[in-house]
Amino acid sequence: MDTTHCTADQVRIPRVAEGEAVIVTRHGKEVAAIIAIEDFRLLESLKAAIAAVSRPPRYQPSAAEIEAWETDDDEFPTEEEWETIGKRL
Amino acid sequence: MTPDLPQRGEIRWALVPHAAEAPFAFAGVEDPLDFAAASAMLRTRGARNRQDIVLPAVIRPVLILHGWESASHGAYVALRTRRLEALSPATREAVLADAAGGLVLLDGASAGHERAAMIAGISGLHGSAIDHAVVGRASAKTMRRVSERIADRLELDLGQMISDRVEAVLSGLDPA
Repeated sequence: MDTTHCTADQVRIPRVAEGEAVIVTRHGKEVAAIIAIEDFRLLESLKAAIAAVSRPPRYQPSAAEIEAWETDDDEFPTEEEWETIGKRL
Repeated sequence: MTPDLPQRGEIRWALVPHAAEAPFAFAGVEDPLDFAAASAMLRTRGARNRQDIVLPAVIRPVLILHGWESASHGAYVALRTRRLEALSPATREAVLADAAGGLVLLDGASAGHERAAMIAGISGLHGSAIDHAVVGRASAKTMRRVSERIADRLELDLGQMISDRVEAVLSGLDPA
């Protein structure tokens, strides 16, 4: 989140405790919320956590995966399996 | 929905292109075709981007990733599977311990064998190349794991989508 810093003597804001919020309205419409710095930090952490878990890690194929690719499997249906598969409807 | 149309999570035998290397062949052309040779041939034969080029294929059990409502679309995406018995003991153990990355154990017997889905083995298959019989079925939990691994394997950037969905859920919650 882009943030702008200013000192308490530059703006007039009400006191808010952790877990509380003051909603600011303009012309009857809610336009902003004032929350405690602890809650703001929590919000930032949540956003960072969502971004972190969503970011795709660089993929490294495992040795097991490489082996599965490099060894050819000559799998073929057994006589029993032919009884089930390959039937025309 | 027609009952025998392939559905997500099913394991069915299918005719799968098997293209280990230089796989394409064209009638009258001795060497396997690569892109340069094929494009040169297409250019020579005029502006027609469709030729009957032959590709080796095998029949294999595949894991269907999704079903379509309409049979007319005909194209499915599926993952190749590999029998555990065809793998080395160490790799088998890794698959069973869910520590094999792009190999995900398919729960329950599937096509008569313990089997893993190969996450990188994505194939687009026409419906007619897939058998009618269902020979195994992966659980919803396994399909979630397969989905996660596909996202990792393909390095899909889901950040914006997840963020948007979380915001949508949060905005629907009653703050009280």
